[in-house]
Amino acid sequence: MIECVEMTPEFEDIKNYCLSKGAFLTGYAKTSSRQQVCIRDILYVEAIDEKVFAYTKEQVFEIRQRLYELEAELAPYKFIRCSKSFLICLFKVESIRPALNGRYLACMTNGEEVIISRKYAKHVKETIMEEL
Amino acid sequence: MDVRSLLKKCMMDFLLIQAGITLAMGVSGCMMPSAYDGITHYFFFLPFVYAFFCMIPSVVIYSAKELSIKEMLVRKVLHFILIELIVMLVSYGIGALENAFLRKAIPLSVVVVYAAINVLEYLFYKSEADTMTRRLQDIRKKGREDESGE
Repeated sequence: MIECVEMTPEFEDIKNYCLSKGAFLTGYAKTSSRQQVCIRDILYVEAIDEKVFAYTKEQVFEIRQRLYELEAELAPYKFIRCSKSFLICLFKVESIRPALNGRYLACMTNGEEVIISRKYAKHVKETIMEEL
Repeated sequence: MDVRSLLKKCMMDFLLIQAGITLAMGVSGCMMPSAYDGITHYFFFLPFVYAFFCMIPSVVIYSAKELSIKEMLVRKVLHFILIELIVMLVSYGIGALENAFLRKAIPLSVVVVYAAINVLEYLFYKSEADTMTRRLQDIRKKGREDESGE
């Protein structure tokens, strides 16, 4: 966080430099305030009904994009589709354990668990094994 | 699970149940040969008959939406009860329950086969999950190295 007494052109340049360093998504917090969400902070993305939410360690942001658009946009950052309504960041998966009926549970670094469905399990495994 | 996955699962169940029933019949035959006295050639079609009827309860596992672990567990229990019921009904239909030994051996073998298949399935997926976890740890380590090298 950078704080300043007043926004001078110099500080505007610093702010723009910082924002361009690293990738961001535009998200909306609970208060509907527009915020830049650093992609590196996102653990997983979930689509609920028609809305898409990005989960960081402490916050949830609504992202006003479709899940398939995010899937393509976030692919370079190692985000992968793990079920019909979830994208997970491979860097943020602590471990994987089997669930019932050919499915898996991805334990994220914040302790939450996301289901890897039977349909996407093969794709997830292939991506993980091809990585590196 | 989509319809295609369900059909694939039904086919897999058919083959697994058939193998399990054949094995159970073989084992019970070795333990109590007199129970199989006077069998006809129709006996050899029984694994197909059992497998066909036991495949039907697989539809309870089907769901268009992603089920939670708890929901899936409930359906698995229901699946097992239905299989047990169907095996007993088919056995009653072919007159196998008239024999006192088979009356105990048949439901018990369903429990053993169902448990064995689920344990084997769990061990298989556990080994796959462990392999993926190890790989992920390497990926995360590499990610941290890339970040610090930037």
